[in-house]
Amino acid sequence: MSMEAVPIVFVPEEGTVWLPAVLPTNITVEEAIEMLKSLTVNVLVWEKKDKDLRLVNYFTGQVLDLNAKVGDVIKPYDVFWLVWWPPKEEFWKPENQNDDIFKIIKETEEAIKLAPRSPSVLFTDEIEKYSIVRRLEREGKLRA
Amino acid sequence: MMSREGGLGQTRGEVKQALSNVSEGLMKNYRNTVEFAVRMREKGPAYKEAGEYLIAKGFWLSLRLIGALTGVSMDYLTPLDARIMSYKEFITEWVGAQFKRLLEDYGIRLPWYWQWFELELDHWHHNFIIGLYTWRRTLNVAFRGPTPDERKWLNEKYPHWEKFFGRVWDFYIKKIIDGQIPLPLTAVHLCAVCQVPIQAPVNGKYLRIYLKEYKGKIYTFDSPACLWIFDQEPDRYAGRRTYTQRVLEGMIQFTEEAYKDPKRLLQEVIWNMGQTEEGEAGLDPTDGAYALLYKEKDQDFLNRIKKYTEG
Repeated sequence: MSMEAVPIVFVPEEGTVWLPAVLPTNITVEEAIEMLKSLTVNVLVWEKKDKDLRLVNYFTGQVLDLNAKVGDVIKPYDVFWLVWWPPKEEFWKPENQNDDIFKIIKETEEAIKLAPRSPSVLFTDEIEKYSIVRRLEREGKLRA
Repeated sequence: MMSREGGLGQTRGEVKQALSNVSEGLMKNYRNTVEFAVRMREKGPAYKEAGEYLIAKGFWLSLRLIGALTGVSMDYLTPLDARIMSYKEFITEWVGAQFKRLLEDYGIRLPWYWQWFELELDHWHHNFIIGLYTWRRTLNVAFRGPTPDERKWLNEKYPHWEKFFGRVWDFYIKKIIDGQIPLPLTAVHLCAVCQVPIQAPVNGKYLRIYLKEYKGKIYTFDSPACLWIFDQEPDRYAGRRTYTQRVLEGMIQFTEEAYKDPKRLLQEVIWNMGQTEEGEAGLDPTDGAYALLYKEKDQDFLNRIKKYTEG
């Protein structure tokens, strides 16, 4: 893959699954949006008449400046919503994520802290001590 | 279990027998794991926790497999008059309830992600078959969409079906009615643990994705449960680079033209996967006829299309 391209993950706001894409770094965000639009709108999701599209960062909620260069504002594996603009609701903002489905999502994300640990975490010392694979790794007899 | 025409069976008797076999097979495996965990529990608190981990992990990964195979098969591929229940009813009543009783019998708490699991029963396999249909050219299995009668059944069994999935199928149906073949121009992103498209728990604005950096590489996950499994056993899963990750990282090489033109890239992905451009892979067995039925049988179809496209 060319060094002047950046891999991202994105989904149109009415999409069903996250999609990978590779964007050239020397184009503007507006041009990148056009590229993503051509791959998805009228291909996977409905066109919305009289609406534009924006890229919104999934983790930070930042709406990307249309005139910015992709290489300046997008890092590898950044994740984006492709949002119809102006939006009906700013659904990516935490304060708007409060219905029953979001409640389950957030409670589960919180519950991971109480999830049980695996044998390989609970018995790390024992595995280091007794594992033949670990011993061979230490002795440099296994490929990394 | 999924790929043969007719889904789980051609008659209600065949379907019932197939579901009994699935349920018994699952419960046998769950019971073995639980009994193993109970024996571990006697050795001390760390062993007890390790046992709970094995139960929760095993149940979660089995659900992904069952959702992909039995879920799709029950609710989409089995003939209407042979269906005896929905996938959600099956998992809730024939699997989930038994599993809960099994855990209660041994004094083991429910897996920590139980709410998410119940939420997904209304959504995950419906999204999964949309993915199978959409990306059918990369598979050796043929798929079609639901007919109007099947759609009516889906709406009866899943009150939210129309809202979340109807608009997607309507999009494909409209394309076919207009004489086009709906095919995607991108790949999908996969989970590094369960290796299925990242599409959980509910489509649209509820979609979630989880990222983790491990030894300098980024891994993506479809759920807190898969992220948790990776966190607990990173070395087991880190070597599993998904197809899209290998493409994005340059481990699979394409022509220079492909990197300049995303549409060309997908064509080359399909060739790289050993599938022909329009050959045996990815056929709709009805050649779109399922969609044409909507013109005759679904009076509300055009009204819905208007609503979808309004800003």
